Amino acid sequence: MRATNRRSIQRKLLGVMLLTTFVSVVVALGAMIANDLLQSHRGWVNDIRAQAELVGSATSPALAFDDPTVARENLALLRQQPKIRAAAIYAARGQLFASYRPDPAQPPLPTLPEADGAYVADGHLHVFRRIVDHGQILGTVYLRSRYELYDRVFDYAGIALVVTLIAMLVALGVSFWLQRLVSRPILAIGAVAQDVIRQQDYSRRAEKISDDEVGVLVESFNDMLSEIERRTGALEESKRETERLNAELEQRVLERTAQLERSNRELAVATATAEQASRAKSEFLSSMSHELRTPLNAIIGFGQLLAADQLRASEEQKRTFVDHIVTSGKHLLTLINEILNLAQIEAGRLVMSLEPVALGDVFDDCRAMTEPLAAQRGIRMLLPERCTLSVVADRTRLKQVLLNLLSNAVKYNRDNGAVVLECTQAGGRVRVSVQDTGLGLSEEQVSALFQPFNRLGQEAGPHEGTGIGLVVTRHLVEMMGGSIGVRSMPGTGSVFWIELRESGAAVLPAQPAAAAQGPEAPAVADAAAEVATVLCVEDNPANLELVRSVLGFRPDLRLLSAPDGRKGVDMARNHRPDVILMDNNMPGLNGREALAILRDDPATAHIPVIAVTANAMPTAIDEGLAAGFFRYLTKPIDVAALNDAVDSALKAARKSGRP
Amino acid sequence: MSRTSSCLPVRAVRVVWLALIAACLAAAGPRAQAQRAGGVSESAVKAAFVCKFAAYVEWPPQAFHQPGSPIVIGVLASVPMADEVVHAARGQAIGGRPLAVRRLAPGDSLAGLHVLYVARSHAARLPETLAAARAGPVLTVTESDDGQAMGMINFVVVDNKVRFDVAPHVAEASDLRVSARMLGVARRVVQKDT
Repeated sequence: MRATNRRSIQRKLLGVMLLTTFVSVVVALGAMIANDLLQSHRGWVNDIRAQAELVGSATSPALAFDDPTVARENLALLRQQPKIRAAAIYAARGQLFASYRPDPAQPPLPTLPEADGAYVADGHLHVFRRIVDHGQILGTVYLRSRYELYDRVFDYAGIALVVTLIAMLVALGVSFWLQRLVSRPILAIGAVAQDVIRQQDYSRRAEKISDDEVGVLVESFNDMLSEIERRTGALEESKRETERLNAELEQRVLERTAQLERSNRELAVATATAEQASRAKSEFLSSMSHELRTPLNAIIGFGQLLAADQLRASEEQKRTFVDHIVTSGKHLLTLINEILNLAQIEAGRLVMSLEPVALGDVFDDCRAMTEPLAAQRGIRMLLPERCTLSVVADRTRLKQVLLNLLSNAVKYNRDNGAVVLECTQAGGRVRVSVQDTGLGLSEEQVSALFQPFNRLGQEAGPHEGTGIGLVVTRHLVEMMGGSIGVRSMPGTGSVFWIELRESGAAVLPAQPAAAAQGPEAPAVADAAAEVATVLCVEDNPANLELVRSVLGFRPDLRLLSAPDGRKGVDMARNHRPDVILMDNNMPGLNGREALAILRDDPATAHIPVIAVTANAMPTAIDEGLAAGFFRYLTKPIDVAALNDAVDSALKAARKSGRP
Repeated sequence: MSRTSSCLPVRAVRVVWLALIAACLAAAGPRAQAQRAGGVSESAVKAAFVCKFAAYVEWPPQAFHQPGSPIVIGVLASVPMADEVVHAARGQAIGGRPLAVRRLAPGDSLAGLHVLYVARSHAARLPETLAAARAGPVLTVTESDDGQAMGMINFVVVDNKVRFDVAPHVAEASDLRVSARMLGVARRVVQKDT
């Protein structure tokens, strides 16, 4: 049943057509053949009966006159009828009168006649017929005829087969023709539907061939396809929209992720940098502690030796001790200054005032400051006599840089060596190189050169250094927009060089102010006529004692002292000193506040106040000078500087104040 | 069904039977005729024939007075012979007409006769008798030998069998029509010229 349903309409129609044709042809042919056979049978029977009648009629005289020969001759005429296989005439009493049997193989004739009748047996038609003449029964005729019904059945079967075949062929043709009418539109719809499903192409349409129910089906199908196409389009549109949104979202997520990763990396780098900085700082602190302790060891140790009375040191020995203490102290001071510099640089608080600077002037200054040191060890300083180049730099810092390089070159040189400073110009930049004839540096040493407290050659000689100098130098050079480098060959020496932008401006003449500062100092000696009063406001007794010791050697000065700011102000008002030395960090009233009070008081406003303070930060110095301090001296006190400042103040006071 | 089956042994048996029967017939045929010829007397056969001739002859309508009138057979023969004819004609009817037998003596009138049988024993004055018979439609039956005067039908004995010759033109001369069927069983049909 299911298989039948699955078969195509085409084949079903074909089957129906063929089956119908077959049945009708078979029924029609069967009926026709049956009718024909029946008619034939009847015809044959009648025919043979007629034959028998004729034979009987013809033979009745022979019977009547007992002439078997004539009867035989009559029967022999049946030779013209080949289908008659045998014939016989029986006399009235039943005895055989004459016979006709052309084929001896035929079965024998009946020995006795039978009643009138015809029957079929042994494939033959047997007919008995009474011979009646003038109301007298003369005898019986017997005819045996070939019964052709079976042959005819075979013939008809053949004809029926051929006719059926032809009919089937015609039906086949007709059904093919009908298919185009009926099944083709349906099959076309089916094909389109399959195409649509296979290719997902909803724009296909079935062709409308007829106006019947199939046509309506085609229209409905096409409408349905349009609807599906519309909905599919809408669906795909929304799908594309969703995909687009998804893609955007994904893109955004990717961007966010990338941002996050980037910030994570930055954070990691920052963390690493911070850790690095922290480690460097703690290393720096421990190094600094060590570096600070080393000169203090000498100071305290030799100080103790001097203080110990039981050690009877000679004057010579004591002088050596004092020299050691002073040298160590100065070293300590240098160290502290450089640390301060470094701290300022790293805090970004170092202010550069870039201006055109004539190198020649700077070289002159440097020569003056380093030649004495070099001369002690027989080292020749070879500086260009006349350099007309100028660079963009901060004059003070440039000098500091060059001094550092030159002092290093002297310090790490061999005795009777040489230091060569050269100055070349190339491509808008000026290179200043300092060459020494020392031991040189290995590559490892070069790479570690600009690290703090990495004092090279320490193991090789007793040279003192802070280990911070080159670090500060590099920072300074870079802040001036320049670069620094080193080229070295172990055993031969090293060349340190810096490069700075060349200044396009003309070479400035040497500052008259700087030149004028020099001859100012010796002019102090004039004012020895009267004794001036100096007030020292200092809370630290040791420092006060140092000042007292320094100024105590001068007969032209009388020293007063106050332990804090408040008392200092009071004493200034009471004694009207000529000069005031003011510490800054004091309990109660600090130096700055005290100065303000003094400046506000007309009685004391004219007195020059020299700051003597441990606050050595350049900003503090600038602020101090701006606040009205005459000079700003930093601790530890340099004796010569203190004298110089006091002299200058006295001179200024005398000039501006009362004569 | 079993009749149509033709197994080889059955057919062989049948052939044998046919051969036996044919042999019997061949042997018995002439003897049976002889028996019949011998068993049934010649006069009886002739009597029967005479009666039967009427069936193959057509008389003119005026030969009978009315439709049911009998066919009258005149017998000019010995008494036993005449008895045989009477015996043969008893109860016979041809075309609705009964047969009537009239015993004749020589010189009797032949009027009203339809058939005249002249036996050999009474053929002495045959030509006159026949001439007299020509006056009406009378079928004449004789037993003459060859070359002698004879009637329209003439009995002959061939191989102990009674046969007859017919002369249709003679009958036609007497306004009688002899059936062709009877001519078929005649030994000889005598034509006009002979």
